[in-house]
Amino acid sequence: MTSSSPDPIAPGAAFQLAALAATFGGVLAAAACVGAWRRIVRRRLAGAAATTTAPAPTAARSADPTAPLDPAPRCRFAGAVLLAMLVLPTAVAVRQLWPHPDLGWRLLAVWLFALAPSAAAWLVLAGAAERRRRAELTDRREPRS
Amino acid sequence: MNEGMPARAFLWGLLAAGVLIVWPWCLGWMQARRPGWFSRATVPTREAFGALWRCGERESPRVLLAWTALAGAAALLPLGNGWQAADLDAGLLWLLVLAVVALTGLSLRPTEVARAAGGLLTLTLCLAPLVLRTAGLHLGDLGVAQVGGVGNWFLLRDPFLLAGAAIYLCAVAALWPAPPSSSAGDRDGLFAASLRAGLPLVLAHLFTVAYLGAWWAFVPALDGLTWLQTGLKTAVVLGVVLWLRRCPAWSATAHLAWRLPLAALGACVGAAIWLAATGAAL
Repeated sequence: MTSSSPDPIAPGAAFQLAALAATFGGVLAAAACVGAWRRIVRRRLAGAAATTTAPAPTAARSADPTAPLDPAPRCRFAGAVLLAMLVLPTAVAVRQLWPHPDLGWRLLAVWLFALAPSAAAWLVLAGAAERRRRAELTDRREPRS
Repeated sequence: MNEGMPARAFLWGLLAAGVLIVWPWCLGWMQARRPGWFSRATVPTREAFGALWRCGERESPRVLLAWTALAGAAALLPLGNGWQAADLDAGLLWLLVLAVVALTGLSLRPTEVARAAGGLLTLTLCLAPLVLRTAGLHLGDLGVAQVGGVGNWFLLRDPFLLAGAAIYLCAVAALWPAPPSSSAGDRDGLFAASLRAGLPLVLAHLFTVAYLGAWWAFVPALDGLTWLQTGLKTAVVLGVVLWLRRCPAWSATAHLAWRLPLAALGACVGAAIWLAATGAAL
């Protein structure tokens, strides 16, 4: 906590702000997880209701396997994941390296290392989920025709 | 000073948010067992909370921002010496700022704005003498200054602090957010219910840290298990707030509009004069 030269920033302020940012990162990650879980529950409830009632015209239209998927929920979830993936490594890097002159380059490296595997995993999982969804919809439509 | 590592702070944020999310369910469980305790502090029943969990209203950004602020405040409050998300030099100031943001998430009708502003003014005036005592805004210092048993708790340091503590509890009882009126078309979402139920919890925890010896036991021989000491004292404070809340007079707007802030100002000035006269800092 003591330094030989005067510092324009209060000692430890950068560490404290990094910890504060990480705290809110944790809170937002929890909120994102709750939101994702509620979305899953809602979809299950909607699916259960659709199997017990006659399909409405809009439902029939949305069950078209060739129709494009609604990108909004996936974008929101991806945004929350990206936020969680970026806040934590950034806070750790700032905590360890401040005020190192190479902080910017190392942050870039941290972001790339954090983003590349998660982006690849995201693409693989999203592709598999979409193929499974289209297969399920196709199976559901074939007995009717 | 322990500045706190970001990874640990992240986990504290997750933990605090999780506790706040399940807290309405805990209150509903207690309400089902002891409905008399909650006669005027309405909380969602477990069934209503389950419905909110499955298909509640969509949350507005204002509610989400307020809930995030409240969860951040909960993470910043210490459960023990250094047991918190971030050990901030100006922790008390951050807490008050986050409380302002959290209160904005509640319904903002003109009368409720007056109640929220009066409540925050009262809480600030009740905490100001403690800032004079510890000569800082550091939450850890508030706890460390009360080491040594019940005689050293700020609650019993001087009569004006005792009065300030009583006023603080009355303000929390008056601030307990009223449930939305279904006739007006207002309906809670999951995070709004968590916000309404979590605000008294966070304020009770802050009272424990500020006045009730934080994580220290009644007698020094029983010190230890800091999270348990803090949790038990917070539960007792919540019980007192619920007991106060049963009095119907707290719903009157005039209490928070001017009576409680004026009383808190008197206690604050009295504590400052007492401190100057006795020289009893720390």
